[in-house]
Amino acid sequence: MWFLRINMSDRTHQFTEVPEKYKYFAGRALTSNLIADEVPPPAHPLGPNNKLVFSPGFMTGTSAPTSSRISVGGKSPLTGGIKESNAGTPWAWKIARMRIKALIVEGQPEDKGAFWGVVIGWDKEAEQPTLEWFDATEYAGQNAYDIYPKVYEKFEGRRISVCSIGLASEHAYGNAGVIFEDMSQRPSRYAGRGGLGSVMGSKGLKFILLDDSGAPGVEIVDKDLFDEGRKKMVAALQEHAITKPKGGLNTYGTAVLINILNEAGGLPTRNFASGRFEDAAKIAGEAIFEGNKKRLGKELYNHACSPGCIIRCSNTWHREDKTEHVSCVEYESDWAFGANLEINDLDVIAELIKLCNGYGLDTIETGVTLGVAMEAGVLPFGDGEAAIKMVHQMGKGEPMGRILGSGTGMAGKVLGVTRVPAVKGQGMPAYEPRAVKGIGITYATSTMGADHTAGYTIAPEILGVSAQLDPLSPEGKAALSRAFQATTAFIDSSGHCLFIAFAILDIESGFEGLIEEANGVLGTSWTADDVVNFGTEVLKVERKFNEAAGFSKEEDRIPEFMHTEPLPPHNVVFEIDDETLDKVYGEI
Amino acid sequence: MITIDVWLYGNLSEYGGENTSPGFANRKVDLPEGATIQDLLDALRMPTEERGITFVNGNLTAMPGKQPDLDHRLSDHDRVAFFHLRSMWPYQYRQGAAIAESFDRELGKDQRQGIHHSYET
Amino acid sequence: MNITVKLFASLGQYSPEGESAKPFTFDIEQGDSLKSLVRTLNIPEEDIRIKFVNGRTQDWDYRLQHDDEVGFFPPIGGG
Repeated sequence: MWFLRINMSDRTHQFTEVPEKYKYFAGRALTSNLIADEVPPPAHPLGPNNKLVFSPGFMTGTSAPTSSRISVGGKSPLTGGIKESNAGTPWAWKIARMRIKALIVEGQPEDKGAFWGVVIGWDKEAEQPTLEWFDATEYAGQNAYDIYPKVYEKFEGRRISVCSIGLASEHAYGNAGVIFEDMSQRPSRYAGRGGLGSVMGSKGLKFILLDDSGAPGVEIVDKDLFDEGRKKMVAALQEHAITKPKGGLNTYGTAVLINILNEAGGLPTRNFASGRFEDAAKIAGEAIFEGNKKRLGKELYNHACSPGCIIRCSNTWHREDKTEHVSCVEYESDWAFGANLEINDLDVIAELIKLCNGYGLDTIETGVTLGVAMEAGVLPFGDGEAAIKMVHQMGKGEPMGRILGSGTGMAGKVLGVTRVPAVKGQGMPAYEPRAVKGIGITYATSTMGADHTAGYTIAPEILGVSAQLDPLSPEGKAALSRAFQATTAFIDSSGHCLFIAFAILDIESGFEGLIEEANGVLGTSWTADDVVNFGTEVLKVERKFNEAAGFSKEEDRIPEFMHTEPLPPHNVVFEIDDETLDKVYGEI
Repeated sequence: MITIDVWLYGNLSEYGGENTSPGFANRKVDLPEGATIQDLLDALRMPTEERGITFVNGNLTAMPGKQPDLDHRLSDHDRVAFFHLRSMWPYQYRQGAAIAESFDRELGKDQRQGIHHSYET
Repeated sequence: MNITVKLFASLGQYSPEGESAKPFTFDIEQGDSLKSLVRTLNIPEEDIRIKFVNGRTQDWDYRLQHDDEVGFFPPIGGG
């Protein structure tokens, strides 16, 4: 296993052995610990002292199903705090197979206009990775859908996987994702949140290409045990109604959540003015499936975003003439441009997603910021054409586009809006805190800013639900909550997609499989335990970094309007008080 | 007589009669005073096993394999939503959402306490 | 002979310090099974759903060896 350090100040690189301390860290646990250990908290996110770290999960690159996720970490230009954002992509699979546990990009070139690319390969004789540089300046200023084919062509004959930045990162936006290729070489799998693309851009790094030809793959200590576990996991995923072939995710994609949240009264609508969108059913996953069926004349099931995924939830949306419009219409993107902007037309939503993919923008941040701009009267709610024009302005770096590219919190300030759905400057995803209180607590207290993938859950007693009706002791409930939290932390480090949670929570052999896979890869008798402990520790490490970077508990708050404006249809406010929010970290 | 605003999602839209759109159906169903979810299912001719997640006025009343709501009495203008068995709502995104009292009580009895999706076994 | 035991999530209440996932050493007789271990620990059998020994799932009649690491889970997914 290797650490690869790429220094952009003098364009040198170094492969080193993995220090003992980081042996069991992977994914977010590794990116956050490296950032906390090596980046001074006051560092400017776009300056030479920030770093960008990539780390695959410890199961990534193996034949464990649905496990090709890559974490990207750094200090966020959007929130000013620590950030981890992750994606499922073939790139994750390849970096793991080259036994690179962490790739650390550091320094900054003096020449501001130049961009570079690196190709990481494998030297079979020396049995170690290699790195070569190329001048990537010619690819700057262009749409990702235009430059990706050129890059594959430049390296024709080699099995290249692409990670890159887009125009949004060249403009140094707080809203700029790191782009990864999908299985069909689309620039569509994003570590989108928190502006990490701009950290990469600030270092003059345009591409990180991987060619894993000849790479040995991931070392598995106990192959028999690993295989036992893997088979159980595969069986559980293929049995569960949500994860099986032609099951919920494979048929309807993640946008299957649209109708659910809408019925629950928790689908943020019209810049978080309501919890229900009257046209939600027209943009939901079910409507995507039926819409494609009508246009294509046949049923279309979803595809894998990365090697080895058997859930296959990544969808495509097709035009009237049957050509592909975009992949992927995820729940969050669908909501951000749909309900949040009162747009009920899937063709418009697809176009907005495609523009974000092409320009290197995070779809969630873009949609939430557009909602704030609509609130300010910059453009009308429900006006798809105006929204499309505005995203072009963002991509091209025009003045209003730059304001919106700075992210939800900043744009709200500049435009003088009071209803700004953001925490720590980051726009809220697709769950209304007033209607789904647990997610509200998560948004408020997460080290990431308003983020739905925070990796921990809230103790029921903090939520104040079921207290009288539940016959179990408070200790029992807290244990349940911690167990779930521990499970998600474990999944996060493993490189498995969080959607395996259905199969491991509902099917016991699936859970057994997960543990056996891990023990097989790492050669331990109880790795889950270590990883779970690291999962809790990582939240503490992140919190400490944020405190040193200038955050206090006053930033762990939900915006004021959510405490005062009742949200239809339940007509509820977010009534969890500050003291209770401050207790959350006492829980972990 | 009471009128119920019924939303049927995914393949359940086939119980929507003439009011079917791509991926969903929305129809009004008239029922006698005091009618229950079971009466509504009967009126729709929909077997209860075909539904999973269920809401009455935005309150969760059932999950796959756990349906303590069959006796739930409906009121005029109630909005009832029935989801197909391929729909999902991950635990972390429903913590602290509105839950019908009958369902909450049922979860409290269950050792698995609501972090699960399916309660079929 | 000594084995290491970890009781997870709500089973933690049966461990010496009442804590989940905290390992403790336990002295048992040669040839004891998982079933007899659970009886000795005074844990209701129906509260245990998943049984690991040395990272591998095992049945109730598994015969314990010296230095085995045993983990018990209640009927929830949890680590």
